Parts: sequence; structure tokens; C-alpha cells
Amino acid sequence: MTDVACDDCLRRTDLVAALAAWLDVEWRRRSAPAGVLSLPDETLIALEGTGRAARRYAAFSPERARRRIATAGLSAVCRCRATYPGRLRDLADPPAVLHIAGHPAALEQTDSVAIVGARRGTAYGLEVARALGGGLAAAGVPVVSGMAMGVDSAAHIGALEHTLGARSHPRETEAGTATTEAPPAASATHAGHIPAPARAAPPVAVLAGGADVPYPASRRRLHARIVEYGCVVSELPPGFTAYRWCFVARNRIIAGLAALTVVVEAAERSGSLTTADFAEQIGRAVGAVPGPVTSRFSGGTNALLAAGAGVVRDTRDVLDQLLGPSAPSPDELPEAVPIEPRLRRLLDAIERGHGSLAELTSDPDATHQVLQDLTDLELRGLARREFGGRYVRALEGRR
Amino acid sequence: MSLALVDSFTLDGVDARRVWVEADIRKGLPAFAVVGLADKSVREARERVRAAIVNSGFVFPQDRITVNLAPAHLRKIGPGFDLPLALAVLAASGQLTPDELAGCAVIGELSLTGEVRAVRGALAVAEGVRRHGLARVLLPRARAAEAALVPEIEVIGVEHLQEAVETLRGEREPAPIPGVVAAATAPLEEPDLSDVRGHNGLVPALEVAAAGGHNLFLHGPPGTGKTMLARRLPSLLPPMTSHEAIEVTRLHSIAGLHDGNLVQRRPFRSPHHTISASGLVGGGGQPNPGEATLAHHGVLFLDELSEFARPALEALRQPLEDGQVTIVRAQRVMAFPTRVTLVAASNPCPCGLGDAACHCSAADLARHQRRLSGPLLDRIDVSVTVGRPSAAALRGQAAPASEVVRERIVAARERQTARLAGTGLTCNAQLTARLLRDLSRATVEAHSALYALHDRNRLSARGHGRILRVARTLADLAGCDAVRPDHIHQAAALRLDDQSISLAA
Repeated sequence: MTDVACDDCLRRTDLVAALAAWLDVEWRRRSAPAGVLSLPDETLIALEGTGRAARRYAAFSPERARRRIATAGLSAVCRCRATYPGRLRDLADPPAVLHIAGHPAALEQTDSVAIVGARRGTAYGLEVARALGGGLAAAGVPVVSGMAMGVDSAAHIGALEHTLGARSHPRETEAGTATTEAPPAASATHAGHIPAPARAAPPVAVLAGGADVPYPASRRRLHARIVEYGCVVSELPPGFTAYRWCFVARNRIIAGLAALTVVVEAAERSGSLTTADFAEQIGRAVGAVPGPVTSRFSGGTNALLAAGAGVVRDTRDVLDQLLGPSAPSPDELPEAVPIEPRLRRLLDAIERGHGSLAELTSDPDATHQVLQDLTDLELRGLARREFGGRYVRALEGRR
Repeated sequence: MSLALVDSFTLDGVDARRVWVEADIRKGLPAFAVVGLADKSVREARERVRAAIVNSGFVFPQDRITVNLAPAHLRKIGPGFDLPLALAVLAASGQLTPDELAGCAVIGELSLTGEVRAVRGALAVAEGVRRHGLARVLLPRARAAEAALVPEIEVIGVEHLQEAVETLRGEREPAPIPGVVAAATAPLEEPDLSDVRGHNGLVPALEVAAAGGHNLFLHGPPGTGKTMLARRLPSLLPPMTSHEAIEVTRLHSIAGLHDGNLVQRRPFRSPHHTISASGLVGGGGQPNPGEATLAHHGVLFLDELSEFARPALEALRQPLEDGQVTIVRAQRVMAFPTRVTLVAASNPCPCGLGDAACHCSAADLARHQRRLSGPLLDRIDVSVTVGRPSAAALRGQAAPASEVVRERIVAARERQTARLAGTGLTCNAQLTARLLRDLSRATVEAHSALYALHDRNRLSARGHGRILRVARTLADLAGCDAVRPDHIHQAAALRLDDQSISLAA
């Protein structure tokens, strides 16, 4: 492990961490110099100006940093090494060191796709993110995201659902037991071995704080699952608590790692649009999922589309944009199964957003049939029952 | 004669305990002492008793009076001891004879003029009278009808201290008891299902909840009719048996909630979400029944479930399972009967405006859903979304009348009663996992339908049981002995999916 992160890069990382609080203030005042993370160490120290950073910089011990990384169960790779993901070098300010929890091999695949979006996702956004995550994992394309609430988590969950195979499910509520079966294989000795079905792609999460600290804390089980089957990476040292600017800095890593960035749902001024901006800056493709023009939660994605981003309707659209129109179709693309007219009418109503029982029928005597049909649609993967009892169109049928 | 004994009762939780009121009069400086763990309202009774005796034309003895309330360890509360105290003083001073008081329990509050005022818990007292083998009970006339619900005892209702004494002496006939079980409950007042428009599709969900006693969850934006639907659930439940009616009357009487008649409508209680744990399940130094107990044999409606304090909901969990609230105080345990159908309602998000206009942040939503997924959802079998009805639906046909739906429910309940005979249970919602296996009578196909759902939707074991219980009720409503796959499918479309919360958060 000691051979994959050099002293200089570790020192640089320590400096950035030490400057984090100062940078946060500057960033909020919008007075941080442009491209601040690409400035050389000396300039950064001079900018901070109190001399505290300079003293810490001089006293830095690479051995202690390596010990901390090892104690946290992480591995590290710096930008001077060949194993460093080459795609990140396109960034103007590639992270000096990547701290990795889980399997570093997960970063090797080049054709990964970032799925990002608002933390406050609507049912529609979450459903699409989950379907895309699952579809891409099925097609062997790693999904990169930020593990935030809402769309990010839904994408990870979708990918994990596929990775874990037939329906043993990585829900937050029940994942606790499953993570204890197999100890999180975070140590470097396991590096390179991914205990997942050969076809499924490993999930990759990029965190704003330390890679060993699940953020948000409510996603700790998801974190454990991603560490187990893929990897969680961060540019900041273990145990580091994120400042606000770190989330934007994290977005540049997501954009850098992915060959294509898909924004699922974002309002006009959503933070997830910065990921798309970064992707555009380094010349990577950007896709967006169209949303209703009346919904402010889709304002940002619709604006991206207007500006020329690729339209993403399903997994096939993503694969087309990623690999060209001749992309192999994903395994699980099912045939459109014809359904009875009665179910069709029910499904049409659900698609129009009339998913509650009272909207689906006005005849109390016919309700029993409707109830039965709803379960039928659910069993066929065409509809999904939300918490409370509203039915929505499921995308599982058309990944 | 300087010593007298009068029987009385005090309320202890939801029961009446016998209390002996002993009065002793002896020569000495005029004084009036009450001993025997009496609370302030009982000690204040001295002034009321003195005035009432004098103003009723009797003589208040100018001697040393000591009244003892036995047993001394039991705390005596409330103004119900005024009348027994007055009669004890009159008997001890020779203005009444012991024979005239023999075997008669007395309870009632006095005004300064000697008028006898109504007290709480008359029915519980009457039951205590019967339990202790006493022959008669003398109480305020306003509560006579209530006490007369208890058979085999003579109930004397009086309005004035003078009347009480004269009746005891046999100088006048006891006043007739005002129309026992007066049909005061106008059936028109009860909210009826036919008032509801635009929610016809939800009628079967209410029907299932009522038929199987299943707890119900209504999820939807504000103003769509969640409360309106919940209010109509009691009208769908089968009429109370006379035993149930008496039980409810006793509880409501103790809480001072009713007008002295038999409660015939199933109670509907909807406590506000700021209620404390002890307000909800009962409590206090001298435990009083809470809202859950007042909803016994009826419906407890918790609107804005996510806004209730966590301790209050936690406290409700066990009672929902056991059918009673157990309150433990230093030296004793009290049980309040609490067999309720719970209806919980919640907005989809804290601001309640729904998907398009919602202002809530991701963190707000996560908190809302975390609070929802709390202790009570485990106990809920049926869940439906209540949407905003369209204009066409509002103009359309109204829901069927409660009476029509109730007939089917009564029939389904009868099937359940027959099947559950000997288990001590009354409805499908109470089936435990083991009984469910033995009694659900699901066909092999139904079981495989359930497993198909299980695989597809990652049901928890609990979710599994819920679907089977609801399917059992659907089969009962359909008049089927066996649970068939279509019942399972219908039940699945009414399930409460506690696991779909986490993704949305």
C-alpha cells in the first residue's frame, strides 16, 4: 500500500484538508481564487496567510498519514502512479490522492456512467434513477454517484439490486444482517477480487468527506454495501468531515471518473448541475432525463436538454450515448408483452398519474377486481406500489 | 346512637372499590374530622355536608364528629362521598336508623342547599354494588338510568338530601327511574358512508378494515377526505352488543363524557397530535383512562401520525396488541380495556402540498418518513392512498349507505366468530402468526401466490402475515371458507409496505 501514494501527494492532501475551513469561508464569500484546487502548494500556503498551514506543511509526516489510511481500512493511490484512474487526469485539478474503501479494481473500468440528481427527488426521479442504475449494472457498466439522499442513493440501490441478484435486496432497513455475513473487504489484500457476479458492474460512490465516513449518516448501510461490492472513494483523508465546498469538489471527481454524466432530476439551481458543468468542461458527454415542463424539480434537467444534452429515456439511450448506436443491448431488455385491455386501461390511468384506488375506480363493487389487477401489474413489473398505497408506473419492464 | 356505618364506593382506575363510611359522634368541643386517606375534595365535603344538612331541615350535631373512610390504605377521591357522609352523620345523630341504611350503597355530591348532584362512574359503582352482594344503591337521579343497566339491584335516584332521607325511611315511594335506555341516540346524527362522494374506490378498504378489525392507514394530501372517511368507520362496524355497550358506557361515565344514557354508538376518538403519552393511554398519579381506552370497542383516529410524539405512539403499541392498557403504579397494576380499531392518517410530506407544489427539503422528507415508519405501522394491516377526487367523481354516484355495507360486515364477522370460537379472539386482525397458520385455511395455490409476491416484493415476514390476515377477511366478506389466490392478490393491493419508505427518503 505504501507504494501507491507518494509523500508529496500525501502532503498535498494534508494541506488541502488543513486549509478546508479557510477555504470554506472564502468559498461562501465567493472570494476563493478561481481553480483554487489546481494552485501549487506554495501559493495555497501564501494565500492562507496565517502561517499555521505553513508550519503544519513543514511538520507533515507521510508515515503517519499512511498509518492513518491503513488504520481506517482504506487504500490510497496518488496521481503519480500508473494505477491512478487516467480519466481523472483530464481535470484541471485532479485530486492528489484517491482514498479508496473497498475494491480499487472497481475504478479500472473506463466506461462508467455517473447518475446524479437532486437530493429531494420526486417519485418519478427516484424510479428512473433506480431503473437506470439497475439497467446499467446489468449491462456491465459501473454506476458512479455521490451516495447523497434522493436520486444518488436510488441509482446506487438500483445498481446494487442488480448486483445482488435475484431480489435479495439492499434496502436500508434490512441490509444490516447481510453486511455481517461477509466482512467488508476493505483491506488491500482483497484488492482486485470483486465478489459479485461476473457480468454485474461494481458500484462506485464518491464522497465529499473521508471515504470511511458514511455521509449522510443514514446511508451507512448503503455505504457498507458499496464498500463490499465496489468502492467508495474520496480525495480527502480518512475521518475528514466535509465542508460545503467539498461537495462541489466531489462533483468534479464524479464527472472525471465517468465517461458520461446523466442528470436524472434537478431543479434550476440544483447542485447536481455542477457535475454536468464539470463534465462539459473536460469534454465528456452529458445526458439528462426529461421531466414535465410544469415541474420545478425538472427545471434544471430540461434546461440541460435545451442546451443540447443527450436525451435519456432508458438504459438503452445511455448505452447508445456511451458506446455509439451499435451498442450491445443489455441482457435484461424484455420484449414488450401484450397485456389484456382491462390491464392496459388500468396501466394507462396509472401512467397519467391517477394511481390511488379512488381514482382508478368509482364503482365499489368493481374494486375487488381492480385490487387484483393492480397486484397483477405489480407482479409483471409494470407498476409499483409506493408507501401509503399509490401505484406508479415501474420502469423495470423497460430498462 | 352515636355510631353509624354507610356503604359507599370510590373509583379506582376503571373499577369501583367498596368504602365504608363510619361516623362517630361523642361529647366534646364541636368539631368535624374526616380521616382515612381522603383527598382534598373529600375533606372539603365537611363544609358542604354541614350546610346541606342544616338547609334540608335536619339538625347538625354540635358535638365532636369523627368520620372514618375504610379501608384506610385506599385513596379516596372525588365529591361522591358528600351524600354518604351526610347520611352517616344523620344516622349517628339518630335522625336515621341503621336498619333503614342496611344493604344500601350511597354515592352523590351535595350542594349547599342539599340538592344531590350527578357524579361520575355511576355504572361502575352499580356493578360494584352487585359484586359485593348489596341490595340497593342510592344515587343522584340524573345517574339512576345508567345504574339501572345493572340487573339484580334496586336503584334509588334522588334529587335532594331530604328526599333521600324520606325514601330511606320509607316515607315516600322511590321516584320512578327516568326512561332506562332512552333512545336518545338519534341515528340520523351518525355520519353515514353515503355522505362520501368521489371515494367509491376506497369503500372496500374501509369494508375490509371494519370486517376484520384491521387497523387502517390513510395516506394523502390534506383536504382530500381522510378524516371524513375515518369518521364513517364506526358506522360500518357491527352494532355493539349489550355487553359491549355497557362496558363503553362504564368507561365514558368514569371519564365524565356522557349524559347518563347507554352509549349505543361505537365511540370515535380523535386526539390532537400534541397529546401526551399519558393522555393517550391513560395515567397520572391516580390513573385515569386515556383516549385509547375511551375508544374501546370503537375507532381511535390519529390524524397527522408523524406529528405525534414518539413516546405517545410507543405507549400505544402494546395496548394495540393486548387489547388493554396496563398501568403499573408503586404497589398495584391496573388494566384499562382498549380494544380499538386504529385509523392513522398522514400527509405525504410535512408541508402537505403534494408532489408538485411541495416546499419540503430532502431532510424534511426524510424526517417525516422516519417518524412515520415508527412503532405503530407494524400494527397496521391495510393502507390506502386518499387522492383528490376529480370533479366528475364528486358529481358521480355517492358511496353506498353504511347500512348496506354493514350487512356484509356483520356476516363476515359472524363467520370469524364461528371460526375463532374457543381461541378467545374476536376478529381476524388479532390472529397471531401461529393461529394464522392453523386457521387461515389458505389453499395451496393461495400460498404459492403469496410466495410469488414475496419473491417479487421482498416482503418481510410481518408483511407476509398482514397479507394473509387481510386475505382471510376478504374471503370472509366473499363468503368463502378457503383463502384463494385472488384474495391474496386483492389483499396485496391493500398492504402497508413499510420497506418502500427508505428509497424515497
